[in-house]
Amino acid sequence: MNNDQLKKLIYDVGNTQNKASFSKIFEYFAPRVMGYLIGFGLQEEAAEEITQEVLSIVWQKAQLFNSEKGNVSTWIFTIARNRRIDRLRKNENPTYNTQDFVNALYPEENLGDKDMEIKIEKMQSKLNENEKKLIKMNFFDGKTHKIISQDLEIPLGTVKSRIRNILKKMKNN
Amino acid sequence: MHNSATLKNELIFQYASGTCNLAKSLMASSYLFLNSKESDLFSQFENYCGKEFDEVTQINSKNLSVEKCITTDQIKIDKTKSTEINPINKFIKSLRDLKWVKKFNGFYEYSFKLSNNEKAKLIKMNPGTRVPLHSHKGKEYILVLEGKFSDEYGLYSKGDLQINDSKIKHTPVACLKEGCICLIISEEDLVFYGPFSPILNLMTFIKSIIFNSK
Repeated sequence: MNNDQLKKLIYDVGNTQNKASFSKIFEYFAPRVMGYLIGFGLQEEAAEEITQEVLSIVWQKAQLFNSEKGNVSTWIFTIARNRRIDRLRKNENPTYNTQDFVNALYPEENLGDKDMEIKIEKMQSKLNENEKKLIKMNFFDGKTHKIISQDLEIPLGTVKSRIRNILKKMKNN
Repeated sequence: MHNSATLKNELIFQYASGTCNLAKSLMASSYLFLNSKESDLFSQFENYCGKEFDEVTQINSKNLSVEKCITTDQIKIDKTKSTEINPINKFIKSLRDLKWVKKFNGFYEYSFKLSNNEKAKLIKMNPGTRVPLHSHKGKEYILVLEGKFSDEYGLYSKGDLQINDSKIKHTPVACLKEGCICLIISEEDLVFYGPFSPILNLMTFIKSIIFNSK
């Protein structure tokens, strides 16, 4: 469908709540919104939920579409983009950062830098060389998981799970 | 030398395409709020992404339904445009009365959470404060929210954005009259992800726009 056809459909929905026109918009855009979200690495279920939301917003807010600002695709793209970012804001998948790491290992507050170093060294002595290297790269050199995976030529998922396991091991010690 | 214009466009493009993290989104939206002249470029980028969106790989799902859309309760959407409300005010009410943490004489920091994973940082420099010469590990974005500072590359006032990469060494000095407050974020490496990444040969694209408009 070209933009003029889509525009006409959106106006139908906005002005007369025309369900047949909405169905056509739905058919055209739902798989695109899904593809867009899955492309960001979202789980299928989460992608479906957001896609459903995005298309609901299109149904509810069709009268807000302003053709002077851009094409129908642009409008729906921005809705999908914004919903995904809202999700990011409420993030349910926390990842480790250095501070989490430090807090988890040393719950007591105001640990001086020197004490911290000694404690970290002690912890490190419990790890083997490979584990040390990973921890050093991630927490001391500040490299991201992605960079580590490229440097060591191991898959990203492996880097993540190894680091998680090492942290667990250190925490349990 | 500074190639700030290209880097700024790259930031705006990333924000328009929805491929940056929350900290960078805040940086970009704050910059757009303070520089209304850039809003045309922003919508130009959005339209570009809209066209790409038409071509995105389609994925069908049986669990989606037209009927559910029509019967769903009204969904609240944030209609406030970046031109109306300063994006930073979503996180902090005012730049006054913040609990600044002193880092060294005349230099203060205030960090705030954007999500469970991300933080952003404000810095405040008292009038005349000088930061010793330094460079950066990755990229650093500095947006002036109030006051002015200067360094080897120029004078930066409210709304100006300086983007430094690891090659840049500088000695920022806060303006003698009023000092400055800036939003700062840093990134260690640039990661593009998402459905546009294969076609996102970003620099080429942005450069083509810059050269075409000249």
